[in-house]
Amino acid sequence: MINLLSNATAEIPVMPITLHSVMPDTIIEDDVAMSSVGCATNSDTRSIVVRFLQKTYISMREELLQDENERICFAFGHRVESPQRLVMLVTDVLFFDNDTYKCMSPGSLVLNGKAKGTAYDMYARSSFPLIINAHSHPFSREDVWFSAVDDADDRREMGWIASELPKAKRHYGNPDRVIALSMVFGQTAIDARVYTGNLQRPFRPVDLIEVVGEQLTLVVPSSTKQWAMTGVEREFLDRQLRAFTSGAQAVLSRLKVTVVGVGGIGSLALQGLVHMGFRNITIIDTDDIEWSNGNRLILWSQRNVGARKVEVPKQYYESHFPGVTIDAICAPLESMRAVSAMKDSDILIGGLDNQGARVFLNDIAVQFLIPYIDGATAIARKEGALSLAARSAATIPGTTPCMQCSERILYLDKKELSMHFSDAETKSHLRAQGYIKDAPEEKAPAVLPLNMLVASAILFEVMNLVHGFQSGARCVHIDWMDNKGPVRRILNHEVGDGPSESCVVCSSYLGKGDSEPILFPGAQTELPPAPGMSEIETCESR
Amino acid sequence: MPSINTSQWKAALVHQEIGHIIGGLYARHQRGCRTQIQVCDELSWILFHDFPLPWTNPDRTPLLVSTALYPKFPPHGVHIPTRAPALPVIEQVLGGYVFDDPIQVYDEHVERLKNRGFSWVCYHHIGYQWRFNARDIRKGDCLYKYLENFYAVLAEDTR
Repeated sequence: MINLLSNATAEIPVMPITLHSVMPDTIIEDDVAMSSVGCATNSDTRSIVVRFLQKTYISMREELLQDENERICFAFGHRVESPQRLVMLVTDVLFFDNDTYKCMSPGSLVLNGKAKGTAYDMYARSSFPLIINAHSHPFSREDVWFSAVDDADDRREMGWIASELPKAKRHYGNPDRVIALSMVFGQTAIDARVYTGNLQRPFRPVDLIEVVGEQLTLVVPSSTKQWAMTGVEREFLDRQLRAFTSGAQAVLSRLKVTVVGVGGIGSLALQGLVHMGFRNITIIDTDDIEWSNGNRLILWSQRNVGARKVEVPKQYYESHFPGVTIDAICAPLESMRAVSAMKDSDILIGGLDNQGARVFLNDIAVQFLIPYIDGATAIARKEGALSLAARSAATIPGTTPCMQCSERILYLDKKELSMHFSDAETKSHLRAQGYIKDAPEEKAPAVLPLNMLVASAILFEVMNLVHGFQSGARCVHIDWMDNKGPVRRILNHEVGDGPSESCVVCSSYLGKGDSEPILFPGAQTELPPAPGMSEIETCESR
Repeated sequence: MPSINTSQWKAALVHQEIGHIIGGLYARHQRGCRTQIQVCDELSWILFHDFPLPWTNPDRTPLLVSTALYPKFPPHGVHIPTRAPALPVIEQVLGGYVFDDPIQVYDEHVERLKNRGFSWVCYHHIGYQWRFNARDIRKGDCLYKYLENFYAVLAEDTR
């Protein structure tokens, strides 16, 4: 009767139970002509983004637009909140078989009330804060809009949801935050809105829909003012637009990209992003500029030695490139500010120098459905032979294996990672016992041309993510000493399956957003209470 | 510092693990141990009030496992009350690796642990390997196996 496609942890019980104890009978028993439902988000003025896992989005489209009849489905997900944006992460979807429709035609649909009640019950039992009612207008060939009937249905249904479903969630012991959206799918367009709870202005349009997969598909809903490039932007990007004609370019300037580590690789990647048209960028690094950075750090000058690595590019790009805003964060990766910026990104780029930080970004990427592209170099001299190697690697949540579940984990030192993720006190404890040795930091060799190669690989993968001009690469291997072909792109489909079902990150954290605490280096936890003396005495008496 | 909230799936995993531990270690214990097990609200530790030991005297001990990093990472050893009679025996069997006054440097965390009367038994999962299987926890490394291994190492002593 009802089919659940769950891409995250199976949070929704398989056996539906009706909500007679908590839902009004009228809603359970009555058939309601349904188009959409929603719930209050107060008078929130933040921009609203809906981010889908690709397979969830594709299955919804296929279901809703399978024939000429209007159809309906429910999708569920978690949220990410920041002062600027409310991002909804959609991972799961619930479909209805034909026998659950009382009426279905190209112009209307009426869903069996019992099926709808069951769907609400399943939602109430889950920890998902987000519920989306999506239906189709298969007759809409170009732009698609909510009809007057949709408006009336949404007002009634969302009002009910706003008042009743939080109670139902509390009844089941779940967080009672309810965010409701309605969406309408046409053949080539989508419209989407959130219920605000405001009588005068009950709906707010969704600003952007993102579909995270091998390509980052960007859809501007019909009701939202279409984003067009200004004349200056168009001229600035003229040569690039002649190569990549994808409409996504207009949206690029609104995407948030975070570059973590703006040293040798990160500073080059940052420069490329600005030139490619990204305008909303965050950079994170705690280091200061040193003389020894001079051989590879973009924007290095002797005048800047001693300055923060994040401040110099911020000042330069903001003053020399129109419209560029850089949020420069000089704070550790695990700081509140850095974590908030990373989870509020649309694309993450890593120019890091340690595995623990990479795994941390990997985990953030999966939890918040953010494509993450990481770069690294390795220069070595073995028995006199020089090796100049580099690689970029992509974690695309729900599409590629993550660092924790792919073979790449084999190259990670679990002991080092475990230490990295321990709190400062435990580390101090382990250090005192000799389990961690504070060896003097070894300065790894680094040269500009190799950094440029890997930064190029990162930027090409970002370009491909947005414009989709070739198959996605899980990683790009660069071996400059290999005369047969120094650059090798390893495509996703060449290296087997997607995320591992047994991977704890991909199965338990995928798309959980703010609903799940972030396991981060230095996390402090509650300490245990004193053991009961009676327990010890009992043992002693034996 | 972001707060650590309880997550339902982690709670479910922890309870699944406890079920396996009760069904395995506790069930095998000849004299029977009380299954009084306390799980921290934030799921950052589990306190087994009567953890079974493979000896007749002592045959049980309070034992605490930190689950702050679970299930992504294994626990850094276990904690046992400093005054517990099992502690010197465990230290003897392990050949050391028990620290009741663990570091010379003043440290708030250690001081707080000491105030709570816990000693740290530095027992690590085999070679730091930890492949947790989210689909079927018994197919990968898990708390149950970690404690089973700890028990097995202690059982190698033939007292």
